[in-house]
Amino acid sequence: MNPENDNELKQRFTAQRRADTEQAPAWNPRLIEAPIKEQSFHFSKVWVMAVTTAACLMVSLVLFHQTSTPDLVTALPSLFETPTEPLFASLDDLAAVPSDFLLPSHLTLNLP
Amino acid sequence: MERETADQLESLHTDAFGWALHCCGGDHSRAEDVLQNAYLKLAAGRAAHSGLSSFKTWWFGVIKFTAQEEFRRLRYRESLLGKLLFQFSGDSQDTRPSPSRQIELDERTQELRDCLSQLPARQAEVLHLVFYQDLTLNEASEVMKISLGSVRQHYDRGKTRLRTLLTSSADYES
Repeated sequence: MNPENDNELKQRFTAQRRADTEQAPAWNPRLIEAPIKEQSFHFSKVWVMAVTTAACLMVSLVLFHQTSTPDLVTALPSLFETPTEPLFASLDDLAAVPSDFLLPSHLTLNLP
Repeated sequence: MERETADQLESLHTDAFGWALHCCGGDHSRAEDVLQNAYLKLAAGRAAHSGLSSFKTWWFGVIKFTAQEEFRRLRYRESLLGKLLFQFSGDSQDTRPSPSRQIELDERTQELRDCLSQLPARQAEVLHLVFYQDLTLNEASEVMKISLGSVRQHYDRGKTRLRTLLTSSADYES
């Protein structure tokens, strides 16, 4: 450690300290008694903003959910509707028509 | 608040401002904000001296921590989201020093501040605490929350580097 060099540095810092002291704000006892009203107001403002945003988000989510959920009765295909006529009823008409009606008459079999 | 604490704060007020000024890189308006916020912490009971260290080193630790909080808040405000939010809430404020204040700064003082700003933060801090605030290396280690050995190392390196910077700055001017 070189004391001479330290002294030079010390002088520099002392000059800076003097300059800072001149520009320092004056001591005010109210500084340590001041209420933190402004800060709490700012804090509450932030909270109000956050809560409002969260509420808007929730409302929009609920609305979106309601509009996007389909009604099952209208949304299901007609496949699940109960048939009103007997099963394979339409096939009876086909069975009545002979399958060999295009054959010549001498080849047509007539069963007794 | 106790009368004794209030008296101690009053006697340390200018030194505390000097320390806040150093923690804020010479920005007067920010230093005033930081010091006021530190006082508010005391007034609100969010900081209390336990008696484990001297009042001065404890108080300087509080100021340093408050300055770091302020720095983080400033960075947040400078971010895009922060800008939008603070524009919306109308709480934006200019933290730059006024031109008149900058002119008021003595050239020699400004030169020292410029050289200090070129040092690593820890080195600049320990030099400020020792030469400006007249703290011992042990007290500086308490404020900086690092070991005495590290403080000594930062102190020696910082002094050497600061001398070099000041010499080169003087050579450049002449």
